[in-house]
Amino acid sequence: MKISNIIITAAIGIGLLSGAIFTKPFGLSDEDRACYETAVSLQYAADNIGFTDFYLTDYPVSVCDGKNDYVLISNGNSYDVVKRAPVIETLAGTIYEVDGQYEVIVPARSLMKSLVGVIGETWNENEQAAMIWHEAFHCWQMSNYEDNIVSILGENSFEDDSFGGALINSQYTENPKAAELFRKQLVLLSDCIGEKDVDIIKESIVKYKKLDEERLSLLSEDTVCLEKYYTRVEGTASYVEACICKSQDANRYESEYQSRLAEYSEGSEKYYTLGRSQCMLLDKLDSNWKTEYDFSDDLIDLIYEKLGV
Amino acid sequence: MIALIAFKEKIRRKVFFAVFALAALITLIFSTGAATVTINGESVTDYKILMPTMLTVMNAASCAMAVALSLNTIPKEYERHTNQLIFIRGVSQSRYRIQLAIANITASLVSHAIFFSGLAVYIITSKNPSELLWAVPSYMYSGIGIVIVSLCTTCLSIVFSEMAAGVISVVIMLIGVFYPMIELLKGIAGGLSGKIFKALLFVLPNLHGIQSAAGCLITEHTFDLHIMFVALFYVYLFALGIILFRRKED
Repeated sequence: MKISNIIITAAIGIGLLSGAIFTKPFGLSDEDRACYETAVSLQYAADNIGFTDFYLTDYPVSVCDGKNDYVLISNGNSYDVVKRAPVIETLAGTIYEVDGQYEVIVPARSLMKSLVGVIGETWNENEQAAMIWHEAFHCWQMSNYEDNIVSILGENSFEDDSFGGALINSQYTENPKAAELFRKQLVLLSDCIGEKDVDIIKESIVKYKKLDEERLSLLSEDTVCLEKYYTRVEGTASYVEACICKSQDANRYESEYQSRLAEYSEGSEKYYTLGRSQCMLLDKLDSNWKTEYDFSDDLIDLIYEKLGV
Repeated sequence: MIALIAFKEKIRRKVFFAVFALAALITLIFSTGAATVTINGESVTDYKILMPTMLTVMNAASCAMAVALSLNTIPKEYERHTNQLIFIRGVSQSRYRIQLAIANITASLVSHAIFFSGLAVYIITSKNPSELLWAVPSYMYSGIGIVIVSLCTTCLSIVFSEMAAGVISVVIMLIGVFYPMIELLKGIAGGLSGKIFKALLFVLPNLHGIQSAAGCLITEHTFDLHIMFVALFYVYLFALGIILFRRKED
């Protein structure tokens, strides 16, 4: 091979490699920045929900791309980005206490797109922003009401979330009657949310209460404990997420939240729906319920109290 | 000249009838609304969601065709001892193999164009004719991935037997097409498995990334320079392999 050909060939290779290196995106991607900025811009929607002093910018938001965490820390009208090694590896949104402060931790949008793409779904900026708000609400819960939330689980320890999910699944598999009762309860709640007449709502909740008592008697104490935890903690966060979604995209709100209020799911997912439904019903009965709610009571107990059931 | 003869021989094969039939079938399925994507259990027929799905299906089919069209070109020529006839005429083996690789690439890109025309039909039937203009650069962009598959298969067919080259090519193609799934497995798996997945992802081309970037040209009118450079670098490496690798008969 001629020397000139070798030089040209090498130059092409070096040129392409250099092009690949210099065009490689570094740091936090523009799309993740955009998702955070979109989330922050939805503070007005969170204010309309009504939980006291719930601000996204109070909590650092850490975006994990698998190799690094990019922590977005608000400073007035802008934000700083701090790069660090990942504190945890996650393929889902969560919160984590870092140096005494709760942080939102979410996978990068590109990772979420890959993750949901495997099961044939899509993941857009609005969904990423809604997930940030869901987790930020958990930060607010733990920052303000940690003792009440921890006390829900009592002496039981369910640190391993998969254990809780497995327990719930096995309980409902062993007790199909409990699953059937749960479905009926979801339908009753969904009907109440769409009902204007308070007397009819009250009648339905009386039926709901009987079904609830029957269902809970079929489940173990641990399962009942977990149910209270998930309904209060995740149910309210799911409600916040739904409200944020409603402000962004009414169609997606309808298809993913509103139309699925009576949908029974396996595992802990059903408690997200249950809690969200209970929050929506409470909105009908007393729009100010959120200003005083401190997670020490079940949402359904508040409903019973407001209806005199 | 060698490339043209080899290419003409390829298009005489019945495989192109299969390409036409498959492209027509995929187009029919998507254009008539028979194809839907399910999101949260509900069927979605929105163009912006179905178009990338169709592009994924078309690309996967094109990649498979590229392997099929490129696999036995060189082994067949060597089997027929055509290489010796060429060598007597003063054409070097590496130049001969490059010409055959060009024929493979051309045939693969023609097959890809047939599949892509199905996508163009879908864009028109979905009443988005303005996006048709973007289909041309998208074809060229996604064509880089097809060239990579063709060159990779050609390269492997120089060194390995036809069967072995075929198996390895298909594995590389599948890993490239399902790159996000392998990334997910890398995230979940630990220990040696995680390291193996990490190594595979580092070494092998991300065909899914190329196809996604090509899709973004149509849907979002954005151009990813980084993915293009990486893809072209893989083309460069495999082209080098065709020049440098030797067959045992050489």
